[in-house]
Amino acid sequence: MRLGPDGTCITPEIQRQLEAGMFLCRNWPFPFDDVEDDELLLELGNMKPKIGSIRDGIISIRLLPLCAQNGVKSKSNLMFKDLSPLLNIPVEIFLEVIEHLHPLDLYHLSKTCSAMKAFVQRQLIPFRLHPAFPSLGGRSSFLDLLYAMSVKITSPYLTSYT
Amino acid sequence: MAAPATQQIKIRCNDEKEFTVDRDVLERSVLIKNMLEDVTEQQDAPIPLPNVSGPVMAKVLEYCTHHRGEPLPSADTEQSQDETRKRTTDISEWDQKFITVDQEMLFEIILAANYLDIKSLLDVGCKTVANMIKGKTPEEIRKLFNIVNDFTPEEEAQIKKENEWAEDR
Repeated sequence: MRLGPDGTCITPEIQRQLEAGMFLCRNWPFPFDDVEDDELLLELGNMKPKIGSIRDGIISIRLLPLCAQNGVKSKSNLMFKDLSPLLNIPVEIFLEVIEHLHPLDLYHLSKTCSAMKAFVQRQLIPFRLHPAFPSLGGRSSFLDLLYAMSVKITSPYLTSYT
Repeated sequence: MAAPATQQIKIRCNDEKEFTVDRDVLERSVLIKNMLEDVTEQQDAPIPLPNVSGPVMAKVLEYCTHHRGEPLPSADTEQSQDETRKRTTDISEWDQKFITVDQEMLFEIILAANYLDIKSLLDVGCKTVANMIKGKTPEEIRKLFNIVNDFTPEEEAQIKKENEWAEDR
């Protein structure tokens, strides 16, 4: 028998909900207690809470990604349903992967599907990319460079790796 | 008092497969290392690893055995090495051969390394995936990772137009 942080028994039903990503609001510590505020804000910035069910005094809340609710379109649910393993790995691992990518590769990756595009555009990761990118005066400027039509006119030399 | 290096530890995977492994090999995993340090008395019961299957654990143990004895990155060195690590996608020859597996196993290994907190293995896995993406067009990436193209024709046209500058490289 497993016990929760407040000593209550974790029944199979609760276990099932936990495995389904539902956070149970009891007297338990908030699930992100051990996470730094900045990290939490970054993560929750991409999520939106959605009330699941109220049963036996337990409120189930599921955090859904914004892109699945009001992002590009409902098809972006593919990010979480698609068979592609790349779209189903945890966010922190995906961030590890794309930190190794050149901006041009990241750009190509963002063009593979709408979920990927929404995800890449929402992240601040470009600032930590390899190779170190010159300061462009802020996130919006960098995204402009990545996605703006005028990039060919303004930066013709950024079209190759070297 | 530190346990002798030859101490054997039993682990049990989610498919009930059990492994008996030298403690120093298992301690490549920070998760297991912390577990072992938390246990004051020697226990015969295997350590349950509910998120790892037998075949994946076998690969992970192969990696840990090869790299046994190598210093584990400390919190101080990890930060200083972090930038250098991210600036290169070089993988050693042995690691490259080790990670030459099918895509399903590759991602299983990455997930296991993340769960077991084996930073170096996670790094090898992520670099491998990054290397698979490098230099490929969006269509090639889609084919490689079985990603469904869900852009509308209008969006596709827009992307193609945006992409023109990058096609010349």
